Amino acid sequence: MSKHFSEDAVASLLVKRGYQILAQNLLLPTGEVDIVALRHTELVFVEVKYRTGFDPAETISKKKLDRLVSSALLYTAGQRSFRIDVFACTPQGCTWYKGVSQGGNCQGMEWVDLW
Amino acid sequence: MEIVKVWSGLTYGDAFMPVEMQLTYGPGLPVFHMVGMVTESTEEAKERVRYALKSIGRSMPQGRVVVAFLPSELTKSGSHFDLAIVYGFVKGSSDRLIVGEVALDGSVRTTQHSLRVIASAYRSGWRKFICPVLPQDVVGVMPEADFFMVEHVQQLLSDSGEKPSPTSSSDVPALDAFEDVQGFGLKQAALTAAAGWHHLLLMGNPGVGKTMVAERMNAVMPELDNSERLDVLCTTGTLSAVRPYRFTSWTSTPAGFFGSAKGVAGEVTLAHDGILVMDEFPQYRKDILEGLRTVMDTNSVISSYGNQRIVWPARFLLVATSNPCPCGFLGHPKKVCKDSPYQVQRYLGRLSGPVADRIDLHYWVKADEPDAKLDKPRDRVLEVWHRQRERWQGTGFSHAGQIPGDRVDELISVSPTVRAALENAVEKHGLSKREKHKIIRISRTIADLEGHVDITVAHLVQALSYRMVLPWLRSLIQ
Amino acid sequence: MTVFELQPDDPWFGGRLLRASVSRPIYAKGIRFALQKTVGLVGTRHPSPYGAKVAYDLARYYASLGYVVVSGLAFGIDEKAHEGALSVGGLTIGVLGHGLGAHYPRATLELRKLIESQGLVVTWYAHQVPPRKAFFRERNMLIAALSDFLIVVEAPEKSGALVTADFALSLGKDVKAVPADIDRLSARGSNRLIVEGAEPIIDIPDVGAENWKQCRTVEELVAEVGDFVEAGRIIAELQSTGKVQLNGNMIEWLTT
Repeated sequence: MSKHFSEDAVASLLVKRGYQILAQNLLLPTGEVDIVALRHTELVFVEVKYRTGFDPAETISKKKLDRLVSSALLYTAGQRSFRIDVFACTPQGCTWYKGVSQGGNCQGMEWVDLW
Repeated sequence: MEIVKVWSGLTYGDAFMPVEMQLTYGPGLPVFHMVGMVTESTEEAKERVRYALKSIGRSMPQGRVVVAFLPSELTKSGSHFDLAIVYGFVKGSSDRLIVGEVALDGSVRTTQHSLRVIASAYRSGWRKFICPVLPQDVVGVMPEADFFMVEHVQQLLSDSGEKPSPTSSSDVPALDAFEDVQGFGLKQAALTAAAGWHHLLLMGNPGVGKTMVAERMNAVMPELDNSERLDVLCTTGTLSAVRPYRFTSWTSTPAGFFGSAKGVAGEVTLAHDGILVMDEFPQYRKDILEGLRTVMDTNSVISSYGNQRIVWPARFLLVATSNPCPCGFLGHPKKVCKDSPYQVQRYLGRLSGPVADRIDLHYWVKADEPDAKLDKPRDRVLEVWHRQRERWQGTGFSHAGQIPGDRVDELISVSPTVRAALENAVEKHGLSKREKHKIIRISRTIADLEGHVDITVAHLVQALSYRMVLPWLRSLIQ
Repeated sequence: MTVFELQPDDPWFGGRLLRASVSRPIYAKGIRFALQKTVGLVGTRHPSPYGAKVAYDLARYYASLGYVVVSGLAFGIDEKAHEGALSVGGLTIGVLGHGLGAHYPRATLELRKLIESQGLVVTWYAHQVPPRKAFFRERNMLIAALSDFLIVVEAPEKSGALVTADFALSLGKDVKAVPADIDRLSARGSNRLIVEGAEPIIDIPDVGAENWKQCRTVEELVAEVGDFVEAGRIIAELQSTGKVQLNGNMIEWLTT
């Protein structure tokens, strides 16, 4: 199993859902973005967390969200709107948090069977 | 978005403040928010609740969970909010008052604070509770309450409550304890103090057993009645048939003595409805003695800290002990006092301050006072209590010692001949009004102890003998 | 509290003033009680604590035996003597060195008012006469005349108290003195009196216990003492010193 197996699985799920993967493990001065995807005109920055044992979403700190937003702004040069999604993956499956705001709220949550 | 509402509460001093808790959750990264001035002890509920839910196969709702404590301006502290949160998650809204701490394994515990919350809520009119298993005697002081008692959070689901647990055997005060006191006159003085709720000052040379009497006095005090027990439960969170008894030392600080506004009761409150012993009375700090004056006048303590103001009850029987002089040997049958008259004057001067002026009974404790058994001391005290309570029904006073000076003449009737003798003496000896009132109060209790309806001159003389100890000591250094 | 004038041959004095060959009238204010036995107590205006205590205790002792305590209403020993007598509800006479309308020293004014209501204040000066140094010598003469015997508690050499003692001796009255420390200046005069033949007082007998021993109930004690505040004080003292124990209104005497 590669180091990025969960990120690969998420990427293939996104493709299945009609997203186009623009970049994976994108390194920016502000940090690494796991996946950058595009559907229609919507740009999505994706953070993938995999943990066994407890809810990986709890490890997404405010700081991490701030970094993601900075990365996205850098990537788009502030010229495009974007969305941040978080995939909290466990061996059982994965929770997809769509449109996470900097404060931690999100527009929708979906349980997806990743494996 | 659904909002679940459950009720719990806070205590402010011995007063109750209901707290409405609103639980809701929304989509988002998982967080557990508590809002409304929540202190650390309450904040820790998060982890206890999470694992307690896990223990019954439930989990926290996914996403952002918010628990709001209303009114949000009051500081919330204590671990007794746990059960209400768990209830809100597994059952939804409820109009019962929910109090209890949960452990990680899902078992539900009582804490002293949760008992205080339940008791004070009961006193302010709440009747339906969900709470941990309470002992039988606690349930007994709240006869009208409907308790749904749970031992484990599982039972919240099954609707089957527990029975009260048997009362843990508390030590019933042994009456012989009072018989250990040596000295007939001493026992009578203590009995008079207990019967009429007269504050008592025990003076004597070192080692004659002043403190020991103070300790044993509780044995002749009647047991707490139901409403007093509820009061004690509200302030201390513990329950016993024995009256509270607090032994304090002159090294106490004001915060420890009067309680802090952060919710910790002081000695005066812990001694509510019972006995407060002040050992080595003249040594106490001036600020304590000054503060004690208002406490004794109002029977309550007010402590303010920031925006919080707490009123505690504090109606106690003060038993003070004191040496007669700095070296302690003034008035000793054989030893000689080494202090200068000035030193002794100063020392005795501290016994006529604002607090000492509120002490009715003085007694000189001697080393080898002849002893004799008192006849049914506790029954006699109880009888006087009944008699005095009946006499002053509706006036707000139940003991002679509690009647303030300005109402003595109105509430304690004295026959014209005795009144004339008293007035004559007041004029002749230049007794102050306050002194006169003390004499009348003590005489009333002595008359009641002897079963007399009217106060006679003999009762006045006996009362006077309790007032003349300090003049006697002063005459030794004149 | 009436002011009245008494002639030296007034029977109230029991011939005390006639024997002293006094001819001037006496002005008095207070109660006209029966003058049976009297004792004069004099001493310095600046006593040691010891002197003050002894003056007080002696006055108490004699007052409780029924003596009228005569003194000069000055500061110090005089003041304590009056206070001691009053403390047991006894009778006392204050002798002034000026008219009844004046007062000196101011510190004893309160005490004088108390004596006027429970005892007697006397002088042989007319109402508005202010104090003068020579008057106090005459005042001492009156103290000596009124007293059946005189006790000098604590007095330095060349003091008014010694003058009073001289008067008393010349009138043929007993003079007793209280011994004190030999290095105390304020007691040299009284100590010298002892050397010169005054009877030293070496003990203040405890009146309380002996006097009231026949009383078995509180009522009896009140009847015996004649004042219930004083009775209460006596019980407090006897109880505190372990001589009696009170059982209801029964007084139980402890034999130790």
